[in-house]
Amino acid sequence: MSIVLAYGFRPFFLLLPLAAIGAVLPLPVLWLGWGGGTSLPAGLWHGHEQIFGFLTAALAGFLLTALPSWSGGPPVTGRPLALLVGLWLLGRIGFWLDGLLPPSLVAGLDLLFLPALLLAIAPYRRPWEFAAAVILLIGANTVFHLGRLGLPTPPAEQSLHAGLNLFLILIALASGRILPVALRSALLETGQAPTVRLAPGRRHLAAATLALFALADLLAPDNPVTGWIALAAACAQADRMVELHHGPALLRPQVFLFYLAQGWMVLGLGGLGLAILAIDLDPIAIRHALGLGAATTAAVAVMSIVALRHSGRAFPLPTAIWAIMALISLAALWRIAVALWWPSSMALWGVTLPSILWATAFPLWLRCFAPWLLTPRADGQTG
Amino acid sequence: MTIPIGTAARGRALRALDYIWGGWGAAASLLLLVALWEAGHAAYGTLVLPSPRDSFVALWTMSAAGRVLPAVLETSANALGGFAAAALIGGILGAMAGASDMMRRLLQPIATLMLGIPAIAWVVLSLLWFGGTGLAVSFTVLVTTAPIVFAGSAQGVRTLDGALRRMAQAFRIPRPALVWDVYLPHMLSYLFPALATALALSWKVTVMAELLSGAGGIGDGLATARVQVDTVKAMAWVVMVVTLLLALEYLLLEPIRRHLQIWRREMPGGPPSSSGGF
Repeated sequence: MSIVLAYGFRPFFLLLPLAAIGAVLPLPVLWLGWGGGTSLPAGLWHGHEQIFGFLTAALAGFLLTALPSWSGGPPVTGRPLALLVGLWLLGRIGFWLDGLLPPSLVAGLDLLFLPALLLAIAPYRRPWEFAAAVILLIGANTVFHLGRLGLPTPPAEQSLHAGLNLFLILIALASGRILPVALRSALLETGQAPTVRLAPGRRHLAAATLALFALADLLAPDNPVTGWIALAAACAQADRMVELHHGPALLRPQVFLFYLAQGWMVLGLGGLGLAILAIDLDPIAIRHALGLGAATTAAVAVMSIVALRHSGRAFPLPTAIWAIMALISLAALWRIAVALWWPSSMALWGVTLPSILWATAFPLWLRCFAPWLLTPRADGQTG
Repeated sequence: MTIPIGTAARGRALRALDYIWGGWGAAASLLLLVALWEAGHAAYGTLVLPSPRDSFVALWTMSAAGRVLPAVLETSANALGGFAAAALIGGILGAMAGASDMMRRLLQPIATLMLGIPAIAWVVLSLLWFGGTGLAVSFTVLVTTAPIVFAGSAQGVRTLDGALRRMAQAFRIPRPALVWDVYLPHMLSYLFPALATALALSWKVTVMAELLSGAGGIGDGLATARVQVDTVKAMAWVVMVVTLLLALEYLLLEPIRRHLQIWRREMPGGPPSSSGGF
């Protein structure tokens, strides 16, 4: 068996940069009005690929690695893992060829992966929240495709927003489990006592307000009630940042990545709340703080820490992680700022430049981490 | 591991930061309440429950017109005047009751009786006695909150540790030091909760008394809004009162409470001080 198929994170993290770059590559062309082979509006196509292509691959790699190691069950490896990766890749190829293939075929290819992932993680009964979130993701993706095939469904944006909101909840859940490990290592690196006591109430409040926001955003988008809930969720996320205020340990990358992701979440949720309640802000731009800012930063954090730990290595993370982090946050900043303040220069500065930054970040990530993903564990264990 | 110099000061600063940062958690809770309020507005309309934004805007407009600050100052003056008198009188009488059994027998029933009289009855009586003035309001505050302070003060003095006092005397501790370092910290652990309750109550009683007496202040604004059936303005005044109460609680009382409870936090084997926040 190839080492690449020895554990879930290896193939998914190796291939995911492909989806990440694929999801932005056609954007500048589409924005400049040259292309347009696909029957989907460019924004929807891009949003779907980021959420159900890129982020979903990160989720799959994380779940297929974390769930077995938490529950002690046997991991999915070898042929079944190859099958899962293949199904994911089929969905992406379908979307890349969208416009050449009929929409029903694109939908059929794309809808194969998440149910297969659910089947693969079903044997690990605990923690159940992740499986529940995967089921909801399947629902969101199905509604997206049904709408495209002409069935009466809510607008396609709403499925994408629901998908992204689910990822925010997933990040809140996952970071509750990864953060203690990251924080402990950072405290040790900075010469502090590695005692980490995180109040569970704080992260439960953060996750619960996010879930409430996701529900409100689904049932009554643009309603003032949703606006206030978004502001409350933003405050609850900000409240959680205090968990990481540990002096110099905060500036270790494994901790700072989470801090940054949390900060983007605060900005995004707060901006959405203000956009609904008071200020005329472009909500699509604000959602980029949640997707491109928060979710991507958190995904990079999780991917990097999982790749490090499960390839049998110890902290610190490679220094290049700072560059990757900066590229992503710059891309988010640019995408949002240009849309809000210079909407006339959107095509070049608001889309092309962030796309380039984004498409630089992921090859850089591969350059750092691919050698670990392609070679056996450093400590000689299997997996 | 070496402990760097200035750890204590750093620890204090970090605790303060943790505390201030904890405001986000409180804000999350309050904003969810505002979301519920907004839903109530959507269900029942402006006449029953004006929208939060309209109320905030109304408050802003009234402030810009210069009507809020004078009212707030007047209400604060009435409340604080009554509270200060209650703290002084209740505190002294309570200390006497705590120190002497006879005084306790004499004063305790009266305090119980005073506690039992509803605040609204006091408003009516003081209106008859003092007319619709700030004095009537302050008097109402005094008589409704003094029994609370009395009870706390009496309890604090009565439970002073006699053995500790005798030890202090054996070591010839100067009297001021005895009061400051032995009596006061012990008394405060009983007196402070009573004072905090009394202070929060004094604001509510003040607004009520002002509303009924027309003696100016926030209560008067509320009364006007009621006469004009202007729910938006009424709600704006309520928002103002609530803001005052929250500021009082989180900016004044809670920090003091935390400071007084340092001994609890820094007991050996106790939880570390990082459990900050509201």
